[in-house]
Amino acid sequence: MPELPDPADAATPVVDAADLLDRLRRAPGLASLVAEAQTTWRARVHAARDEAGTARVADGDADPGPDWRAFADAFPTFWEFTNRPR
Amino acid sequence: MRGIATVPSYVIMQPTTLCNLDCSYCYLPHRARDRRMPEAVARAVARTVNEWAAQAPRFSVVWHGGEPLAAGRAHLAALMAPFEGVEHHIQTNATLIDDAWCDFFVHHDIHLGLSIDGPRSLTSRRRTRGGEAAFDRILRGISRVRERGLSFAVLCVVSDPSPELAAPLYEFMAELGPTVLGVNIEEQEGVNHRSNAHDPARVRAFWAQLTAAWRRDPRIEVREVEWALRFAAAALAGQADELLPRRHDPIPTIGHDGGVLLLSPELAGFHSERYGDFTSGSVLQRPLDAIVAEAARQPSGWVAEYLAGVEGCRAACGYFGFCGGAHAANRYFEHGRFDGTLTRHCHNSRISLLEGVLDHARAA
Repeated sequence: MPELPDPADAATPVVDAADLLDRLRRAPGLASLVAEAQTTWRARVHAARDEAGTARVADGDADPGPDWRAFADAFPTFWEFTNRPR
Repeated sequence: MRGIATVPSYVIMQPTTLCNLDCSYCYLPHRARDRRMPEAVARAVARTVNEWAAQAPRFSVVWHGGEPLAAGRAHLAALMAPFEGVEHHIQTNATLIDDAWCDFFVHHDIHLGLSIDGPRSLTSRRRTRGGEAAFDRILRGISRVRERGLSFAVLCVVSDPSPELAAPLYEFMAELGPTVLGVNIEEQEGVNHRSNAHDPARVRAFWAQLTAAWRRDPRIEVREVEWALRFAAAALAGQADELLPRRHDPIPTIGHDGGVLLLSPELAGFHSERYGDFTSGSVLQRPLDAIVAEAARQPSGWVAEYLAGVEGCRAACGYFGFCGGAHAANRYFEHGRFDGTLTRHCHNSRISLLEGVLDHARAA
């Protein structure tokens, strides 16, 4: 098993942020994967709003809007990712 | 993300230190002892929380353990009673759930989080105090919840992040039917000293395979995969810098004795020569809002060291925009201090995650 960096060497940059973003933008297949995910997210919001009897999200809206906080809604231990103070 | 907010969006409560299970990877130090939270602690917390909740669209009170159901329905109800205008969440191992507990969940409008690690073979580290496999008991409790039509989330621990296990894990969970699945790679934390060093290529392949399984049938939400995609979407839209919150949520964890631990529930019950008991005060001595506000205004002790560590992550790691910095408990239990940066948890659950999702996108 490969050894991971010693914590003492932890200040060593893992990767440059600009390079990472550039890699994301250039990654073949990522845009279509994201588009599929956004379709899924919109469908979930539609379903939730239909159940609650509130207005739907417009199909062209890439972000389902302020009620997109499904992790926080559903998950007690949501501090892993959705640390969202006002 | 700089500094700590003075008002959280949720608090975590420890109604008892006791857990009826004895899982081999558990980090909790006092899980064999039933140290129960007195009602006076809950009343003191509620005095602040009710004010916070009145000013927010939503505010959550998360009952965590130990095993919160081990406190019993009567005591848990008494602890919940002082709270007004909040959402109650319970994270439970499900083994104690019966119809009476389901009635309790309905009556108190509980948001449920259940803990199971996948099919029987992947849940083998969850054990009773007698050392028996807990899988059947867990599944029996979850069945009660499903029969009653109650919504639930699932949190699972993956001890062996091997790529060939990802699809069976996802398929099991999709059949189980939670709204959300959270996938925690086992951490070297607390009293669990088992190394979490894994071959990064295999962990990355695990996340890639999990992404593929979710993509084939995205009927449940997978917290990690979808957060990575959320970041990717923001990056493609040129908005990656806007994804993380501006400040850390203080996440006050209230221990059974009223001690307030900020930022890291996993540190509850631990003591260090260098950092003491990690608490920032007790709600039995000072109001919770005063404890949080002071820590936010003038961070001291380990909290100040952690915030310096976050700045270290910002300066050193290109993944900072995705994760916001290594978690406090992972820094402490892996490095022995809070101002180190890169942890094995970072590798397993952040870097390999994002790279695995990217690998899947490229290969698909």
